[in-house]
Amino acid sequence: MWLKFFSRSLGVVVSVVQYGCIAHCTLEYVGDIVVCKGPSMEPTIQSKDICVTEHISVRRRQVQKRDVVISRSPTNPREFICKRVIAMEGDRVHLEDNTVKYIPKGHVWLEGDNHDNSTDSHNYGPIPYGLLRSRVIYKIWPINQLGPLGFQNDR
Amino acid sequence: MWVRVVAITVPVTVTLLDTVGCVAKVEGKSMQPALNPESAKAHERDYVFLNKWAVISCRYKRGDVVSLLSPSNPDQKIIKRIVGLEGDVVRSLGYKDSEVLIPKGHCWVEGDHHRQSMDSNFFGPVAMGMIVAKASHILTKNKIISRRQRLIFEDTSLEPRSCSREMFDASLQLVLSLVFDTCINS
Repeated sequence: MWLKFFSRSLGVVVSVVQYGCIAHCTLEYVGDIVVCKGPSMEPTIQSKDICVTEHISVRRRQVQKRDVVISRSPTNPREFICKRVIAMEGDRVHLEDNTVKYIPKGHVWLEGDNHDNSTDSHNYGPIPYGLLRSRVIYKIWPINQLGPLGFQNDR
Repeated sequence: MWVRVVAITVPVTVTLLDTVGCVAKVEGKSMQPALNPESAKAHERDYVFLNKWAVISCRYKRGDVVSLLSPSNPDQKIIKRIVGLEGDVVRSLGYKDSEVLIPKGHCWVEGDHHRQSMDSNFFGPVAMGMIVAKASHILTKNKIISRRQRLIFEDTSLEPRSCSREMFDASLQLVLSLVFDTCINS
């Protein structure tokens, strides 16, 4: 009886590990679901909206300008930030104080859509591509805004 | 049947390599003499165990040897030693400022072999989010005993492991044949 109990619980543990590993690979290499907090991407993404992201284009270096990406915060490695890619390596960015900034190799320039309330590359400069994690492709919550991410902020 | 085996073993292996760690070969001379002391011979490259579990907590000490993505080329991984953490003031060796205050969330990394190393003296402080693993052990087939003496890092986890040389060699061969090793440039 104990043997049966033991073998059954062992089977449960093995399948939990298996599904855990499959979940890890999916979340790490394919895509995941994130809850965005904070005002910096308004009006594209409001606070507490839920979005689907994919990791493939970041891994294959196919991120383009105007993509909304999730990145590790350069000021806190445990935090993630959601911003829009404004410029890639080799591009020039015109700042508000009429200076021109060149984006160095391997870096991107990130900005929030809400310029008045966003901590972005204006504060910490271009960020290395290695910090990028995923690209936001789809909004699933709130339900009436379900669909691919819009480009309200066409500049 | 084999589809099922692949569907199970591949995710389990990838997860282990991602969360526990993997073995990587070190290229280049920038960490001499700690790594690749005889770099002229191609077959005497050092293998290091990259501990990925240590990265989750994001707690690093000065003197830790870490593997990070190169800020100037995201496809390249480099291995360096952490010299300064956030809030420290570092006297640089050839950076544009002679004294650098390391900003929040950043660290200052340098290779042990200064003139052969592309490190923070070139690209400045790096964000700690770029660190992918901590190098915790050196695995070398040749001259393990003599090489161990050279590995006196500040970090205690780099002290010699308590296993006999034969066992170590055998297990290393096994690990190297099993684990798909990646190449990191120092």
